[in-house]
Amino acid sequence: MNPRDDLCEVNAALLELVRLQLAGELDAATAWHTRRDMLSSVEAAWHDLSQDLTPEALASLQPVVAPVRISWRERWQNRPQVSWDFKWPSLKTITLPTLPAFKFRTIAPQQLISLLAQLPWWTLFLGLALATFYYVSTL
Amino acid sequence: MMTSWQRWSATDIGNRRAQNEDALVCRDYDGLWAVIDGMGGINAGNVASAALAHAIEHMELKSSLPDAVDQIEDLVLAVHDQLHDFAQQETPRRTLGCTLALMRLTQTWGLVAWVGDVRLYRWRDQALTRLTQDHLDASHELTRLIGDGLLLPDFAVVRVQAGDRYLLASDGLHNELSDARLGYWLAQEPELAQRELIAEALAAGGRDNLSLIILEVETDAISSNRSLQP
Repeated sequence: MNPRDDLCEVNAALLELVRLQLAGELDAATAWHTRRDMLSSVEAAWHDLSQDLTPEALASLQPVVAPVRISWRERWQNRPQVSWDFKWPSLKTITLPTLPAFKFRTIAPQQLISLLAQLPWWTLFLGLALATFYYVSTL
Repeated sequence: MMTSWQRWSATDIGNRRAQNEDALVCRDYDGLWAVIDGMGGINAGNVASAALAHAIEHMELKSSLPDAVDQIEDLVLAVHDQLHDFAQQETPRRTLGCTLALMRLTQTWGLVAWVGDVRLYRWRDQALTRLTQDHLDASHELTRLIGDGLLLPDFAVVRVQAGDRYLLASDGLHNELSDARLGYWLAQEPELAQRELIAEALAAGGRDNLSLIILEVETDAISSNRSLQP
């Protein structure tokens, strides 16, 4: 089958051209000319093309992986998180931060303010009471 | 027979994030839509997604298929270089970038471009089909990111039909919901689907920013006044 007779074949070829470039097996100029020729033919013969991306055709395509590895996701997923869950009157339901304390150094001020803004109103009184108790104890 | 379409879109910060780093582009009259997922944290991820959204918003669209592919690739690579330079200057210790899924429709062809794990789904004949392949490796880490590393976008050419519904979804949405749930809601009225997909993803955890665009393709015979043509 001529690859230009079928949209599925065209799409497989588009993926393959990118894969070959990223793998360093095809130079950009050749890939560009090949793609332009193919897409020009597709557009010229558009009404003769009958097929499209189908689930079966998509399943047959191999995932394209570039030869680079980006580790931001792991760092992002491991970022410090604080969760609070309080149900009056049981103090056992308060969930304190479980990550090591040193990781809090990576929280940006804006993030900290945003987290504090989500705390319920009674934590303000709790904080004030603790501060007063500490102040009185130092007298 | 003229093809037309309607669009519904929504974005939400989610339950865990301090800010929404996603961006949407909806050029309804030009037949161009994009969901962009920025990443990099405070004052970085939103910069990346906004930069790409701005570039797409102001792109002068080419009419032929090969030219359209070229211009989208050129634009993505230009923004990639700019973000890379910006990251080197402003946030050298952090990875800054964004992922993208873009759809362009004309009266003849449809074009999909994507980088990363923003997805495009098609709902046709009561079946859900994913038209993009995530750029993730076996450990679910991104292998392509606009702004970092070696990059080329992937493309697919599609033929749309009356009655098709398309869903552009950020990973914050499709990571929270199964394909069965996506299909269930795409089978409903799009306005309801738009609202309930976000609500259900939030109820499922909402661990990331959530963004979606729903497109419904129509022909003259069933299109309404709200429909748009290129």
